[in-house]
Amino acid sequence: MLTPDKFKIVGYTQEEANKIDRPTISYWQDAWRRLKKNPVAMVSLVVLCFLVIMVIIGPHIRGYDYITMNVAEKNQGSSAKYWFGTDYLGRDLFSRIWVGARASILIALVATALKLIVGTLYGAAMAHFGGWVDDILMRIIEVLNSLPNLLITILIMMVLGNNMFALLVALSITAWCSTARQVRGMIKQLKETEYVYAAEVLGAKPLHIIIKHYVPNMLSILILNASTAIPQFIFTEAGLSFLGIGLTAPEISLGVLISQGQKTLDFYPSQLVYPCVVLCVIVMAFNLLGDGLRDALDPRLRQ
Amino acid sequence: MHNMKKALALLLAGVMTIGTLTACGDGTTEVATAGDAGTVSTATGSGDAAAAESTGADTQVMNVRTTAFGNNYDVQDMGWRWMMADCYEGLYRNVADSEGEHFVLAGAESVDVSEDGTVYTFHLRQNAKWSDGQPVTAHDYEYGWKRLANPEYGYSYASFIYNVVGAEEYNLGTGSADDMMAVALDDYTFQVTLEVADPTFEVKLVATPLYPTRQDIAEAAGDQWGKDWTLCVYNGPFCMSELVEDNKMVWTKNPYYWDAENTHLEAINWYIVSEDSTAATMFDNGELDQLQTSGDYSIKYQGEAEAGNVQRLVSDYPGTIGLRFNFFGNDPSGLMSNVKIRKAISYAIDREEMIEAVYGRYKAAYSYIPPAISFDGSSYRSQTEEVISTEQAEYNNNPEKLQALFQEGLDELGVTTPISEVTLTFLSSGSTTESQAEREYLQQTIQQKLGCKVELNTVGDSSLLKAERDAGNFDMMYGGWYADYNDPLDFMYTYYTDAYGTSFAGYSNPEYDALIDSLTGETDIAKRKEIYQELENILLIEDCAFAPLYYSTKEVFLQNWVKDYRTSSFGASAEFYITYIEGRNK
Amino acid sequence: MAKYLIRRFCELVLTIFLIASATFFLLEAVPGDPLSERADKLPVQSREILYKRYGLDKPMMERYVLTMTRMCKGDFGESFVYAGQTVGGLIHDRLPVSARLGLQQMILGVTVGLLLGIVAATKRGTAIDYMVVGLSVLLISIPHLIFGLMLQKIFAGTLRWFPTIGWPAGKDLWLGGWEYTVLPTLTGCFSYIASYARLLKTSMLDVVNQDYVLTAESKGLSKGAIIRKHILRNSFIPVMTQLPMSVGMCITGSFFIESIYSIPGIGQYYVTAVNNQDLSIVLGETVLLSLLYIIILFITDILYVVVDPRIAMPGQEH
Repeated sequence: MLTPDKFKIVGYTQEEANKIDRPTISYWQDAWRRLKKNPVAMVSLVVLCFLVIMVIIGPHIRGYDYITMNVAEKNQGSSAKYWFGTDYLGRDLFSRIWVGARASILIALVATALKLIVGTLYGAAMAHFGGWVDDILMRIIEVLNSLPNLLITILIMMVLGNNMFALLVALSITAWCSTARQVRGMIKQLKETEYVYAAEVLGAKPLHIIIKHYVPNMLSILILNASTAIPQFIFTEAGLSFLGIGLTAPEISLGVLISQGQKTLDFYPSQLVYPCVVLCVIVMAFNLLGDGLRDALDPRLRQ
Repeated sequence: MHNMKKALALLLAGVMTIGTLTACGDGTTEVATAGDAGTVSTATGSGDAAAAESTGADTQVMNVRTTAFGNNYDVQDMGWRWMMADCYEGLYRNVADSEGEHFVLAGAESVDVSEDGTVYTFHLRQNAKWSDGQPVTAHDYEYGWKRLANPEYGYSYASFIYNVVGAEEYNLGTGSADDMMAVALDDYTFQVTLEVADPTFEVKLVATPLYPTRQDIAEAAGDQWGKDWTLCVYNGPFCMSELVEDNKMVWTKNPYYWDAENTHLEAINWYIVSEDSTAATMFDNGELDQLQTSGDYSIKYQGEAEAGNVQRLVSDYPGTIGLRFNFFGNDPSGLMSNVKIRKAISYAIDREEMIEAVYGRYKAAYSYIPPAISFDGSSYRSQTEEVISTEQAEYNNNPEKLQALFQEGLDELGVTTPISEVTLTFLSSGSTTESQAEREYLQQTIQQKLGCKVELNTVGDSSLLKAERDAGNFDMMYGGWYADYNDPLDFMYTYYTDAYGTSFAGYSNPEYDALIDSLTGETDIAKRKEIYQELENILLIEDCAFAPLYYSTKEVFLQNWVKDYRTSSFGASAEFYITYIEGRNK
Repeated sequence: MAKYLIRRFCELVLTIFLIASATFFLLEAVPGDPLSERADKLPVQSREILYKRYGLDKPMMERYVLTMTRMCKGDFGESFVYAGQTVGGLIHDRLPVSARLGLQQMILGVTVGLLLGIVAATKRGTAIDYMVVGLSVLLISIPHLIFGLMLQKIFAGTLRWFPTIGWPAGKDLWLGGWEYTVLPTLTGCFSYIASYARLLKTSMLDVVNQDYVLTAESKGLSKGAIIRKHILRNSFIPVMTQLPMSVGMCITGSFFIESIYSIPGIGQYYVTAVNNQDLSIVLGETVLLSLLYIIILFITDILYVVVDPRIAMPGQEH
């Protein structure tokens, strides 16, 4: 028979009663936790880290200059001296590939950053001002989207010349439109949600609402946006190289290497295969990591 | 000898004048269909050759590669030399054979030249006909020549006949057509009167702008003349019978051509094949009978030719490519005004190595006038020494000497910047493997030998290149000249002050101009040669206005069953006039 | 409805006007002009005649007004570079060629892509899923040009199953000459396969977690029925959004393919025209393509209402 005297008060406080035993897991911690459980995404992450290291140290491993030609040893196959062989002017392909990959990745990263920053600001402006400002801004996006991409790209490269800056402008000039649209939609939707409404009613300052509610919601969209945009930019840049627009010698990117390799495909396939493989690996790693991030960041998958 | 085809082309070109719109249509369309009869479907593709193969006997059809069609069917515009010359015919035809490039009579059967060399009377062939059956008359020549000079049309080659009495005035708007002394004396006699005797006049007659044009047809076509091929008539061995832009063009034999019995091919199919790789596939499969290619493909087929699997035709082509220096006075480095600087740059380039490393064909150039240019019956270069070879040899692959020369130049200019901090800007265009390789090679080799920096200013296409050139955004640029007519003067005249506007980067030397002027009316061959030598010497040694790198050559691969195919430099680049097919199906 | 249509039409006119103006000024900003190549060899007097003939001697704003006025009458003028070629000829000769090429690629690519997407989504996390992902990345990583040349070398060169170059013309323009279209279609369809497989997979995974799918599962519906009735139908909405974009782009997207197989379409022509600063052709083609794109978007908007009852007719009161 249980009686109250069989129990003894060991002491408690009001504070302890409200204490949560398990640590609070923020949205980001949770996402990271789930990402870690995804082996494919983790492998991609490791591969990406490896690639980043390689584009930094790769060109120096063999000790060959990627610019200086040596026509006596042009178009060689793989050997102990030249791991990936040499190109049409006798330059070490191994070193050139990593220099090229560095440029490709850098271009993609900067273009993505431009896309996200411009897109977010533009989208936020559309959502914030609304009305006729929104209408005009939307019309601009529509015009940009309806103009064939190729036209804009070629013209920009013709006006600005063949250099890194022109390439970045050409790549990002229309890319930000989709981000702007998404951000605009997102903000308009968030404005209407109950929790933002609740926060406003509770007297939260606008800055608080932006930091606590808008930013986290948008960040996941932007991260996903970035993970698809990066490989996209890497391709687009490679495609432009085939049209003869893009970087000029001695600057090289993977696209430049691939378009050079294509021209001698029938004779020296390795000059095409190596840069192509590196490109595929980079793009695949970004894509798979992006897929993993999507799963990890999607609140609806949170259990 | 490969240049014979050019001559033929010219012959053809003469025929072109007009006929009625339907000329080729009713005259030869049937032939066209007959030629195509063995072929499959209405596809615009390349099945024809294969189909022809299966029919047994040799089908007299040739399949040829090109990378672009011309954009103009007006002979006076010369937009399209390779085509014009096979479908049209002028007074003379250019021939290339073992004796080099020369001309033979074509539309003209004989010519009388007045003693002072100013009046040419051409007696025309009376059996020459247009593809609508009308005879080719002296009036067609008169109309063609006057059309060329007509200021309303603004033809680029009008200056070709400025020496004809009254032509320059007419072209510049101060005279009239009636005063221009290129006239038909009767139906078959055409007479031209020159201001001064000119030994280069006759070689120009092989060029398409001087071909006849049918007034009735050209005027009926009005605005569409030269634009709509279906409105044309032809007086050459072939006429055009089908065109799909960016894809295929078909020529069929012209039954009215005066020498039709010696024309064997029934049809010629031109295909646009833009990638060398595709062209190689088609050539290997026998879908193409003729191939012009570049780079590694060229090397591959050179090997095949040695093994006897294909034929290879190589000939000199009248073009010299090299570096032009900035004489506008606004060069980014500020150094181009010094001849020693220019020489150091020029001599830093090892021509032999460059040709081997970058092109795998062509010939190293040490002069401006290329071997393909004839003078007094043989190659000009065989009569006189290469201009810069001796001097270049002293400096070749000798960086100390080159840098010393460069430094002397800097000192003369009073520039104290060390060589290693000098930056030169190199302007070029193009995105092919070769153009990439050549600009990188030049950048590297100049950097390595001279120790200065070379920056590349690379643009996508030629109109941008011209804009950059005119803006002076270069120290040196890639450029050259391909001849319009077969005389050293054509090359030397390019550096006459403002002869071609800004094209030659602002070079101007009164002494040079005076020498060129002294050639006017000079008929003494020995004297002319002396002047040419002097001119080349000023241009390349005294002034070093141009650094020649290579002489162009032309390389064509043919299947073994193609016989008597010719190429020429001043007429049709592909001469099918007497070509025939034998043994395709073996 | 009529009010909505009128509004859309006005917007369309405004957009096209803006596009034409943007194209004009962009081309003007490029150094050089379309005639410089030809003018280079002319004596000065003849140069003037040439520029006058093409109206390029007038100041920019005057030409702008002239160009726009003529455009309103549907006259884009004649090519500066290719004598006698006009936008009308382009629509007549080249557009059908590119349209067929683009549509064939799209139909094949989208079909295969959607099938792969379904497979990947239903077998999520398995080797098959990763194979599809890997394949689609591989397919888009390799440039068209390389794919095209390799297919050409193997199937036209070595095996001789298909013609190397060419495209059906005449009465075979739309239906017929299929052997010519196989390789170009294959070359171009890969990018559609890749993007649609990914798109559908992603959107199916989104739908899988929706409440109505859970409800259906708890009702005990078979997996096949759920996929068919709920998941597929709903996950097709993003595909529907993407499709018109693809249709709009498919016509210009085949630049390299046209060049490899010598197909007389508009993609290659367009690039050449832009490079030559051939204003009339560039302007005409840009307006044409933009118009096509906008009209397709408009039709899609209407289709949405038909397909998805939740979306109200734009402009109607909710």
